[in-house]
Amino acid sequence: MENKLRQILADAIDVAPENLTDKSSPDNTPEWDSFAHLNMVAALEQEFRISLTLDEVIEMQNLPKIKEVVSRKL
Amino acid sequence: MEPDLDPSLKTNLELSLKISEVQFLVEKNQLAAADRRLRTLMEESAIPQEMEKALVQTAVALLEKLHPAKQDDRALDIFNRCSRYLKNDPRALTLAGSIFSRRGNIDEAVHHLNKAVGLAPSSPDPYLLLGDLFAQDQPGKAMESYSQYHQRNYSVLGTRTFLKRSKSLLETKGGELAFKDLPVAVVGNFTIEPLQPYLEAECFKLRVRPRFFFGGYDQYVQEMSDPQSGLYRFKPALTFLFLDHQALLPELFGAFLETAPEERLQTAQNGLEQLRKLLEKFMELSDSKLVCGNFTLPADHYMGVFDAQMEWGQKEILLEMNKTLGNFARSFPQRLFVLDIDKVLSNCGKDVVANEKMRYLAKMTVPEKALPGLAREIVRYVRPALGMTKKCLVLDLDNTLWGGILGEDGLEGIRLDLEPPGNAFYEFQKTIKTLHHRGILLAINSKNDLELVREVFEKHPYMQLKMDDFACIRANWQDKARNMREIAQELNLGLDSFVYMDDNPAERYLIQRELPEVTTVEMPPDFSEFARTLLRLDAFEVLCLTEEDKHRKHLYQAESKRRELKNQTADLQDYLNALEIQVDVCPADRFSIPRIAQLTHRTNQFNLTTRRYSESDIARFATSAGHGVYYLKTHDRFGDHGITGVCIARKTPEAWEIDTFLMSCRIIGRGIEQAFLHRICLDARSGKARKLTARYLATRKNHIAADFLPGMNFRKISHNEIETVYELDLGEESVALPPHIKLNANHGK
Repeated sequence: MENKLRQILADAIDVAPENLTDKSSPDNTPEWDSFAHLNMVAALEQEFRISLTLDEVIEMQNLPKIKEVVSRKL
Repeated sequence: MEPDLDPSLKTNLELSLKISEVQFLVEKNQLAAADRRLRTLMEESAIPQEMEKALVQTAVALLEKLHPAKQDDRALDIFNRCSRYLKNDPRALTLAGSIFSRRGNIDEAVHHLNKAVGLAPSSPDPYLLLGDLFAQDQPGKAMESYSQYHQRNYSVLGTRTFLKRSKSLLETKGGELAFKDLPVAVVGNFTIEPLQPYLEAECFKLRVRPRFFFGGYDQYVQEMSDPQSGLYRFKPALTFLFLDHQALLPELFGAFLETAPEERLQTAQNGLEQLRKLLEKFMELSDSKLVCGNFTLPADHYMGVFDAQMEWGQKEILLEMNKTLGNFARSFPQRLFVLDIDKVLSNCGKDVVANEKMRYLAKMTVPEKALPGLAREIVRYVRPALGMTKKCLVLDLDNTLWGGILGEDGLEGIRLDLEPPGNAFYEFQKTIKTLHHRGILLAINSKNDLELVREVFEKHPYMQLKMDDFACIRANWQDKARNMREIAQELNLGLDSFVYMDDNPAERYLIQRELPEVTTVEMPPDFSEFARTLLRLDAFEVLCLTEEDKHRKHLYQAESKRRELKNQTADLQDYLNALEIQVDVCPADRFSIPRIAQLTHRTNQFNLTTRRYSESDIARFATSAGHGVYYLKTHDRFGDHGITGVCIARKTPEAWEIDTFLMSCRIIGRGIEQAFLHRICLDARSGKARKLTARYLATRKNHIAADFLPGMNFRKISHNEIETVYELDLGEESVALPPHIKLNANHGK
């Protein structure tokens, strides 16, 4: 699951998965802009068949957070 | 174990426990142990039929885990040992295909994947793997497989995978794939960028490589009014404008019930008047076609059900605004079009696709889930804009135009009437008839006895289509690919002008394999879906109806009479004389420009240079002193061919150069092309030109025009890979008018 999340995020923001750390966030990753963020949300919702709330989408600013939110939904 | 259990139940219980063990080990990633137990299980026990499904599921789950771990030997061993059970499981076949392809055993890989496709036609993965297999040597086939993959997986990731694969294919094999380029701009007042991957994917499937310009968020007014803007510098050929009514008219929709009805209407009209001025500006500053999305009708109303009763309620206002957009489009013919985005959202289901959070977060008025549908609607404009509209629909008969098999059920037995199930075929025929009325040719390709077929056309009371509606009928017992080639030959059309509908998957597969240029429609298994399938096809979209389109069916009826005469006349010259051909060559005018542009896009065969021009290009040439734009009209004793030839000449005091010379294929071979060139020579000479130069640019389709210029006494002056240049010395040589043609006098400019 962790790998899948990393891959989805990497695809959405178009960087290599190995360049993403738990510390990566929109603030320190220029590719992670608002458009890429939406891309990621759409992919997460489809792949895990979940629906994220507005708050959750705003909350998901790094990989551990993303994992926490998605796990909560499964 | 229960002692009093029925012995057969007992065996099954034991077996089911063993299968569960394997399953557990697979889940826990103990693959070697799972493999061992599966092996013992298979050796020790016979598998009763009711347990097969559980066994197959477990074995496939194991394969699924072995595959990414690249334990190919073990996986293939399982596949072979359990082949009795796995050979009909599409997932297992797909995994086996993937392993074979990993090992470079292409034939085995293709075999297994094709089998998987046959068993599970809606599953995307086999197509992806097939695409990868073909990518090296057969890029066309690879592209087709990737397209089939995306057709079955529109998800975000599926679209991304499709784009990645097609782009790498284009990079390495772009030359062979012959994609058309298209600069597309998308502007508007809400977030629409997420459309890009879907739109790019739809274009790729059409063999079009788009370049995109996406306007800044809500920047459309600046983009469209400033001649120096990024939009105009981009020089789009096709521009899409999408507007959200709430963002366009906040003063109206933000305070809807606070304003009086008449005031609401007035505000809406004022807003649209501003928009009209902007559209006008765009028409001035660009020669791109502009497609404007209409306004989406709301799923919910401020006044609830009373909205339908009130004066200038939400829905009524928006309907009025959409009507006004339609009027704008009619006032800019050939330039401005309306795209029914409300229809797209309704078809998706507004509630199903709604995504409020993205509307708040990202101003996405059109939700993500509706974007694939919107992209598909958009390419319905791309196809005709690039002249890629199909010309002829070829139909099977049995179980396609009527229910049942004519040879077995007879005239009275086939299903076609106003009651179910015959009414579905009746409706399908009516739908075909509407296509025919807008100028699409029809043909029949069927395994049947022609005499029986004729009887149905003449005697069946519910036949909506008549024999006369078909430009060509092939009802015989030869194979359908051969029939298809003959139809193409008889109608003088390229194979890529045809769409084929047949209920029989085997026949479709044959055509797909033998004649990939033909668009073979994936027919639904239930014939009640036939009419809707035809209506949903984007192959026949047009952006305008020319006079030729409306009369095309008569043109082809006259053609069949000509063929009859030709068969009766032994000598070609006698036949030509008997045709009484008359030719008119005229300078382009306002009425002929749309048709001239259409011909430059559609004519692929008898076309010396295959240069495509838009209407505005043609209009510019027609008014420039340095150019002559001619069109050719011809008729004979059987009827009028309409405008079927175009010549564009570039004039210098020294020489005239033929930029474009093309003729519709159906009139070639009767000396008409020579008469046309004769007339161009006369004009060039009276324009004091001493030479007429022309070039032949070979394409994959225009070889029939290769020998035209040398045959007309033109001298070859240079030749390279791209072009052959010819000239005619007007002082010494001339092109004679064939004696059987009457050239009517018309005055050029």
